[in-house]
Amino acid sequence: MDRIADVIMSMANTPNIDETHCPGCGRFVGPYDTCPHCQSSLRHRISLKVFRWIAVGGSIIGLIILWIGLRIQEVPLLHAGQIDLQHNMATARFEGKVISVSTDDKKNSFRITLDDGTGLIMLMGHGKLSVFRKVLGDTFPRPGDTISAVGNISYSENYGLTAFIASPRRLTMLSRDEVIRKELGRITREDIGLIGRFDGTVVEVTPFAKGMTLRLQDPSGQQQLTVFHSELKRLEDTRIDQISKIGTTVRFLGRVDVYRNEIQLRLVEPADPGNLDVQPPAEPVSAPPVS
Amino acid sequence: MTEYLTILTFCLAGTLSGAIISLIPSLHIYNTAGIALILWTHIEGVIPYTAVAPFFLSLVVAYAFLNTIPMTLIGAPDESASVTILPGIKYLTLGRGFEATLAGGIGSLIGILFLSVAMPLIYVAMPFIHKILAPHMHAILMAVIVYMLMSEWPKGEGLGRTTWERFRQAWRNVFAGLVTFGLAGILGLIVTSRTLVSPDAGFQNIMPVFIGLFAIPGAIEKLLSRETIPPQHISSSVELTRGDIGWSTLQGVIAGGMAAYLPAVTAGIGGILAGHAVARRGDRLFIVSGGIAKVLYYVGAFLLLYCVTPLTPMGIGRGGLSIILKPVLQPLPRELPMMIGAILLSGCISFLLLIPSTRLTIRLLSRVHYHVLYWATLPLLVVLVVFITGWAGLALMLIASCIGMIPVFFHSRRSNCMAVLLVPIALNMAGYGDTILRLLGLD
Repeated sequence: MDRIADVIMSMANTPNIDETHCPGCGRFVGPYDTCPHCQSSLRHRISLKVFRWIAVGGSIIGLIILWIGLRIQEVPLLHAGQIDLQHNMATARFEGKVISVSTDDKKNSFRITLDDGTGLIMLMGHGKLSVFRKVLGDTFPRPGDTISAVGNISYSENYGLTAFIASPRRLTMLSRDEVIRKELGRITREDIGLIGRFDGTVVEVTPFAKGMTLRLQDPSGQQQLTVFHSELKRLEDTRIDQISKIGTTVRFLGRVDVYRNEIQLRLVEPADPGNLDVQPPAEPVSAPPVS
Repeated sequence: MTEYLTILTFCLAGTLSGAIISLIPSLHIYNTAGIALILWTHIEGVIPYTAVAPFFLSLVVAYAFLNTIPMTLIGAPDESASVTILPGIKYLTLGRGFEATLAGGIGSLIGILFLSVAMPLIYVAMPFIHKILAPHMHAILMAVIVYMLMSEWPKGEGLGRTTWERFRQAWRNVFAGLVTFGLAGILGLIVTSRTLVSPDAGFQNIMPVFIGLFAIPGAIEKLLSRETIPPQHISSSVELTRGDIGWSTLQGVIAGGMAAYLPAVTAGIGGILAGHAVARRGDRLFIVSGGIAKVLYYVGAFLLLYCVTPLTPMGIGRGGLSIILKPVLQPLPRELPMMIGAILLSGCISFLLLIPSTRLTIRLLSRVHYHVLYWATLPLLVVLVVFITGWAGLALMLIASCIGMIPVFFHSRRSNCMAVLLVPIALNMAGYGDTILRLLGLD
């Protein structure tokens, strides 16, 4: 039985060749140091076991070194203007000013447009809005903030330049300007791009195809606020109805913008309840219909 | 007419380029395609925009056909076939390498014909299937992982003098497979979180990992091997029955379909699943179905990008070529017939090229030892990695090579190395990406 087991074992394993056989070709060599058939040396040989354990040890040690290396390595900073096709799928850091923030509670996603001075880049988080809000809390980016973000670059013909952010800890706020309150009559061309708090009473409503222009008034003067239907869709129904009524007081976080050389105000993230407050007039005033 | 001729010219150019590249053992078409795309953006106008997709598609079609040659004749499988190579080698040792190569080529031809006929149906059905399956993709991938690992469970003859010897016999390969899977999975989690490779080489940041996991260990294995290639017979027929073709088509389509649609599932892994599903055995079946699966995996996956419907407005981008071409390509459904024409043309030419190329390679191998080819390829791969991804890429490649050598030296499945993509993709899709980043301290 032992003999049978030996034979089967020798079939199952690497043949156990004794010293009289060449370990290279397996043929009989007798007392020679070099195989007369294949010329391989019988003395200077390294067992394959050595390579086996080099493979196992090397991979474990390599992984540890790689992990430590990446932990201490800074993710390189890239500028939107320098990003080319070859950067597609790279992990990089971006720093710049938040131009706009768009959130979608239904899809649990967000999109932040960042201007780093050389161009625009879209930062995206699919299915991660709730995690980001929970971890970042009040530091969740809003327009005007200067942030740093680490993301995986995705360069596509459909979406353009985007970077996907995997974790809220990869998004840090570098600075947040104090949001100032500005009177409507004191807004000048120098304020273009400014994000501030404004309030005024609706004195005129001019609808257009994709939204409406509200003329707001405060004791210092008047200013236009342009509101698009796409922005209104994100508001609760009651606020949509109220905002277009003459006499309504609107308090909002807004951005000073320019359109056809005329200054206008735009809402900033109106879906956020803290950014838009609409107070209806004490007595209902009839308003022109909004198409 | 001019546009037609331009596309035709670039289809032929892609096929010929792909055929030449495919003959270099261990060099993957995606590496060269990525470099070609970057070159294209720097030398604008060389390939007109309309011909970009047909050119790259033809490149991949030719690879799916002619890669069978190094795979069978000198045992250089890519990541898609690392589990399906054995029957081919068996044929080779019997002097039937030419026949095995052609059987694989016939499989690829069947794959091309299947895609050409079935693509309209796939275009209609796939968006609905995708809508149903997409939310459960993480669960599907987890199931694939479990199946992959369990199908190797346990091996060995259970023979030995002592209990320990018998235990070791039975579990050695399984354990090696699990270690490979675990280490490759950790590597995948690390490199998909952050990478050593400079952002300037972002488009190929996974290349050193793949060369390390598959190409380098394969080359080292062959260099250590003392086997010689016996004289090969050039036959004028292939041993195949209609039944073989029928069963191979079924198995190949299931394997290739899964590989084309499921992320990180290769044709080899799909082959394991389909093999068990069809429950048919035989080397011929294996080789032919492998050829079909390879075409569906490389070519079919890319064509899914053209399934632009209201349900899938951005198409169903799958496969390496989709990722490579995404920055420059905006697929339109009306281009799908042109793409089908391109694969049909390129596929048929590739099959015709396969026959003389196999003969030529056999003649070459009768004069030049295959070790010489590997000694030439190994430095080429290292230079390619250093040139594109720098020394950091080389370091990454060395780590991956160590992991890739475990299945080579411990005789377990090399497809376990695909955990490098399977694990991070499945965990990210399951919503654990953030937790993993935090655990690794790489957030």
